[in-house]
Amino acid sequence: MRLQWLLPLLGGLSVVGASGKESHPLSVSFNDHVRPILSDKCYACHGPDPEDRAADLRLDTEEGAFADLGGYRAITPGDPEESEIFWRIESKEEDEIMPPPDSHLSLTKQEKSIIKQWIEQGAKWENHWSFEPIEETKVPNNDSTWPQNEIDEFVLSSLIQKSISPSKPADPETWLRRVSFDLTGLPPSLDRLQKFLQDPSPKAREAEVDYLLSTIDYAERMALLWLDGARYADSNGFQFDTTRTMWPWRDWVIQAYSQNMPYDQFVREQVAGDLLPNPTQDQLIATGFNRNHGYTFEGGTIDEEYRVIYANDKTTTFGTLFLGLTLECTRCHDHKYDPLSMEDYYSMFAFFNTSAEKGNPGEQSRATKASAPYLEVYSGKKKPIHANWKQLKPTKAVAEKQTLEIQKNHSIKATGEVPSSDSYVVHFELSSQKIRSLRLEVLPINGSKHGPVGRAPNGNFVLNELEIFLVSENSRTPLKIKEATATFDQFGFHVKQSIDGDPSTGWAVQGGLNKTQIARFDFETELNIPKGPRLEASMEFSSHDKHVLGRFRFASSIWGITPPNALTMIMKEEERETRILMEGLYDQPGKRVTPRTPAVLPSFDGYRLDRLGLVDWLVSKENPLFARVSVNRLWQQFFGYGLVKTPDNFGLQGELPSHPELLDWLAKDFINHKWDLHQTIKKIVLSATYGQSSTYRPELEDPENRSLSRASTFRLPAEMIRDQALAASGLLTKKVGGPSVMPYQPDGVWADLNAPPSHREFYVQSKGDNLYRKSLYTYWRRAVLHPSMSAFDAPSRDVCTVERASTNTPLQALVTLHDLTYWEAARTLAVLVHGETDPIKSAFERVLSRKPSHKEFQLLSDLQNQRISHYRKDSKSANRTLSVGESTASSTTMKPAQLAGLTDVCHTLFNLSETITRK
Amino acid sequence: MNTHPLLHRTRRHFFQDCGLGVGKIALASLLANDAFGATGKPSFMRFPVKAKRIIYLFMAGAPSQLELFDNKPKLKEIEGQPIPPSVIKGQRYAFIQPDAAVLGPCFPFAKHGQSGAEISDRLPYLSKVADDLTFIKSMHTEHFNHAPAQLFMTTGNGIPGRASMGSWLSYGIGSEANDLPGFVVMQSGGNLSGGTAMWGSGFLPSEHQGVPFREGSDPILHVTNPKGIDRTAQRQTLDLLNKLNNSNFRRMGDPEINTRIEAYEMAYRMQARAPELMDFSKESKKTLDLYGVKEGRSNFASNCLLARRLVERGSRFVQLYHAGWDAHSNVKGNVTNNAKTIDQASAALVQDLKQRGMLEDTLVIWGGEFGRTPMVEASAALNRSGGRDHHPQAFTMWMAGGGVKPGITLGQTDELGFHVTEDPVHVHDLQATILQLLGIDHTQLSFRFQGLDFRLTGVEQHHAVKKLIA
Repeated sequence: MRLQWLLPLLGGLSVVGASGKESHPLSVSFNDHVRPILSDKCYACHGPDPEDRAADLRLDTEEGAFADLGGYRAITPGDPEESEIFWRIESKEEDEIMPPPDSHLSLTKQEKSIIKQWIEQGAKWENHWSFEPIEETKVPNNDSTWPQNEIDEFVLSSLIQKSISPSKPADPETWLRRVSFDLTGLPPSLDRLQKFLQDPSPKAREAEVDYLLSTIDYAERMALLWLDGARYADSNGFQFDTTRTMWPWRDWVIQAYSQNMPYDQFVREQVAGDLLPNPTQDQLIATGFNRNHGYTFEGGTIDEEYRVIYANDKTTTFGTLFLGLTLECTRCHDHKYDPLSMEDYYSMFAFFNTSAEKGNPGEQSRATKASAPYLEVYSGKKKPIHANWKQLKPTKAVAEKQTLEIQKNHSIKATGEVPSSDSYVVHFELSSQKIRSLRLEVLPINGSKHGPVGRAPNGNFVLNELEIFLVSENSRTPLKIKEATATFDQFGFHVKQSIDGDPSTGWAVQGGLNKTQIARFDFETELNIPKGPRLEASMEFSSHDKHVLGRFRFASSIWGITPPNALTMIMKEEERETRILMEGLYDQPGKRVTPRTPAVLPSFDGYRLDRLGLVDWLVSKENPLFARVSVNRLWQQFFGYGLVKTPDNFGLQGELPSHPELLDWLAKDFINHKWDLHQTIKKIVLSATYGQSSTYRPELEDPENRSLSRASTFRLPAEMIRDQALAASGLLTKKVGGPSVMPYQPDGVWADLNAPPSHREFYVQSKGDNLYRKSLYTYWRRAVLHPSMSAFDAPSRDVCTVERASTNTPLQALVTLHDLTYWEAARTLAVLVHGETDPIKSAFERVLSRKPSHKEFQLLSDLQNQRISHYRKDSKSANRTLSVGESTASSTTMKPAQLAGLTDVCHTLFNLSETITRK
Repeated sequence: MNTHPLLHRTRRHFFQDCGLGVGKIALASLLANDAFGATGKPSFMRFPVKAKRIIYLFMAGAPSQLELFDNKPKLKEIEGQPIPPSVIKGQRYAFIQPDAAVLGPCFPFAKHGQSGAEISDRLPYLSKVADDLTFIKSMHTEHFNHAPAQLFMTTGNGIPGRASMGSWLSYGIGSEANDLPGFVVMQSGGNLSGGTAMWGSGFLPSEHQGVPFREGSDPILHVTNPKGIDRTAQRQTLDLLNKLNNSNFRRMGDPEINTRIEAYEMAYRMQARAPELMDFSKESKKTLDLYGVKEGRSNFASNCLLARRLVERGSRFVQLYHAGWDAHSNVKGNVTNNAKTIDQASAALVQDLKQRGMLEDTLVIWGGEFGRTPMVEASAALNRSGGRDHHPQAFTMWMAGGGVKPGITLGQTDELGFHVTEDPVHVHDLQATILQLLGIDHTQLSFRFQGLDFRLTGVEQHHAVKKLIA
């Protein structure tokens, strides 16, 4: 091997310089050099979109580029002089030159010469790389001891080509901190750090990685990434961004990662779990993935318009997350750059267009915090109970002003002139001696399925009060109703208001008129009633003119309701034809289409025409995109950038892979190992490439580390910055799953949304342990993200996001300097370490996973002394520093001034650049 | 300052990521910290810079143009009769039926100033500055519900999650303020349907999002020291952080570390600047009276004065939302009350900027998300009477200063005020015009996200309105 010289360099010598600037390639490749130019500068008018195609010339297909244009050709292989495009790009004439001046595009000298050279070399056409099948790739052998595994062989080959040597390995403590954050989102504990430093051998590294992968923290860390892509939130987005419950889906994701569910199954259950044979409850919950987007509840919304918006969101999320394709571009017109048509788009849309849901799910759905279809999720082991209702036979029914007729089906009908107000009294025979709850059915008066239920002109009623008595010959005992629920509540007229003792409020159903509605009333406890007495229902209708009930019926059950823990949205199919929507407009349907995948990708023949067929196609070996896109995002997790730097775009406008063979090898390896995430992740983090030092090498002019000649550094994601402070101080509570929580947040942040009282949501700060949960569990409100999260670039999750920005701003400094969280963590850390021999050193190591240098220690000690003398003079201020937060400073022997001084030091540690950086 | 502390990582991102190189150039101008002083113009800066900053008075809920600016005596004549079906042509409405009866204008109109602009008697203060104002009576939009229409006006799209106008400006040309936010949002009145997405940064980095000013002593979140932490303590901490971060930089060579040092210093300066900004004690009584600012009261008037103080200190885009114009019932009372709230301070803002010589390069924009129907809205069930429903086909906005032709009225509507008959201005046209006044070609300021080149004005062909530009 020609590069034996490499080995001595690994000892830490500096590197042979390599210019970051691209020199002119010796051999021009269509995919690497030419297509990027054509795509950027030519395809807008000479690409796949026929609408905008000029001069009937397309340069995105082989046929188009080499076609006979009537005696001349755009491209004549081997002969630039006989190629029209060469003349056009070299022309100086305004009406000839390409790209035309009004496009504001132009070709550089080098771009022109690349095109010329390509034509001279025979103009060999290649299909777009990502649409080509993934082939088995041969692992290079570099005859070097540096590589730890196959990844390193690929990386080293490419470094050798660029005459760059790899960086020296990172310190063991740096490596451990890096891999701990990457795999678990947390710094290593002091114990693990010390244990590892005693034996940082490759074997110990592997054991450490196995350990990290086995923790629930790993599952939570992976979920964090997945939630951005799947656009998970705790609110509905749109107008007033009200609350929803999708956390059962979030918990499913954590569960799936903790079992290391094969990735193909992970995707299958989320996209199409409902279509699996006899789906389990978990498989149904998984399909909430498709429902994670926002829902609008604004009055006056056109249902179909928004239903289409939701189906678009499902379609484009699928495209971005699994195919790395910008399907969104083809919603209104054929793609400008990629070989995708509007028909392709609506054929994909057809898979998601059959979701049984509404564009405006209505106020009821807002109240239940889930839009149908949904699944009731019960806490603990309790399964939902079938109530087994028994009709109550009325024996007597009287009203003050109307006649109440008892019908054969045990319903009661009010007749006679409609009074302004009325009271009904109905007596029943008991159906069973045990009663736990009552059901009131409000029925259409006409006895059919549809029709008004109340006698008010608009068909409504207001049941102001319902009281239940146990009646015997000489006694009338009220039975206390504890809980009331209904299939529908008019806003401001909740069924609970019919049992609140206030006759000016009540239950009504405007918005759910003209059909049966059911209210359910639970007694405090199960009633054991001796034979003899009867049940009396007394009903009051008085607050609204003529709003009296027309027909109703009661039943009883021995079961009480266990209120579901949550309603979580799931997928359900509903037949619906799909048409191309002209210009993307919901009310401009065009040609009918059936579900199928884009024509440029492998054939969809033989697959089921539904989402399950879609996933089977997606994860098939023939699919060139899914595995590549998936391993690329994994790579991004560990190197800051993917091997393809545009994780959301593997199309023609996306970046080319920096290491195409490595990408394909990883993809193939992932498939060959049955989509085992642990396997691929281990491969990556145990590679020498990953294990390099991350120290900058400015001479390489490669700030993004595309060459992989070092490990990458990046600022920690928003969540980890807070979680680290909680973990290092010992405040972190490791409770997994459940409803999202509300940690400290400055007052009034949600007031920015300025919602009216009827739609207002309140940030109710959590208590106790819930204040210190991982940030994964912080309530995610799309419109008003927690300000600390938003300052550190957490996305709103209005749409699928596969790459977060990473900014560096003064507002971030204000968060870590001033937010209560960091002061409380600093004080807790100070209390934690104050008894140790060297508190500052211990705090430093807990936060930064390394020992301070002598100078660092000196500077921190100086600050401590300065602050202690300040606090000695101002004991009030010391007490204020020590009283931050809900947790109490446990009693220590330390004087307040001392502890406050140490707190300031700990707080400084949380603000260091190194602390919030993964290096 | 020759390095912009905000955008180091972003710069790298832009250098490689933005196909058109816009981000790189935008950043270059940011680095100069003053887009207008920078040599080497960014490619999207294709027009003369007429406005350097914007104060946008967003009248949320949609004011009735028929009660304020668009005088339609014909409506009075046929009041109570249904509007001819030929006019309506199957248009959908949020709440009313298409055959609803016509409602005449509730207030008398008069001509004002040399321009002879017609303004109703509800706006006596604005009437006095009529010659400084430019009316567009031919605005029209695509959405007829509040949330999407407000988002359409502020972000160019009806669905939440796009970059707002202020974010685009922050991204494209940065801010002249280096110790205050460049894009500030304030609210008064009622509820905002469009929500915080109206000042979100969407796909742009989050530092470009609008910073909402809060009521009370801590207008910017986290800008005040927590209890017990004085400024001396903070300085000591900061000095230590600088030293430790510097030695870290020497070890690692990561330029992010230097950027962070500068970010902390800017945060420190911001803490000093914010209280000074909020302190009105140096404003003359005359100025306070001009706006109608009452001491200790936070309302639309004080927001207008604060807006002027912000642009004076270099903020690029200040957006004031005043909500409450949604007159489904009693449009007469609604307009009377809201006009009273906004009239004096809106006019004062124009006058004040003018007397300080700032109006010529400060653009003031006033308007809602759509208009209101010529037909009456009444519903016993909803307890509504004498109202007007949402009307996307035609509404009126006004602008002042910042390179728009003063004292003119653009566009007309038919005699019922239903449709635009002359010089229609689509919301995207308005947005294109605003960008052009700042020198920006709206077709060239774009950002690539999920493979699409997004811009404020969408993909359809829209144009800046040349007739408006001086």
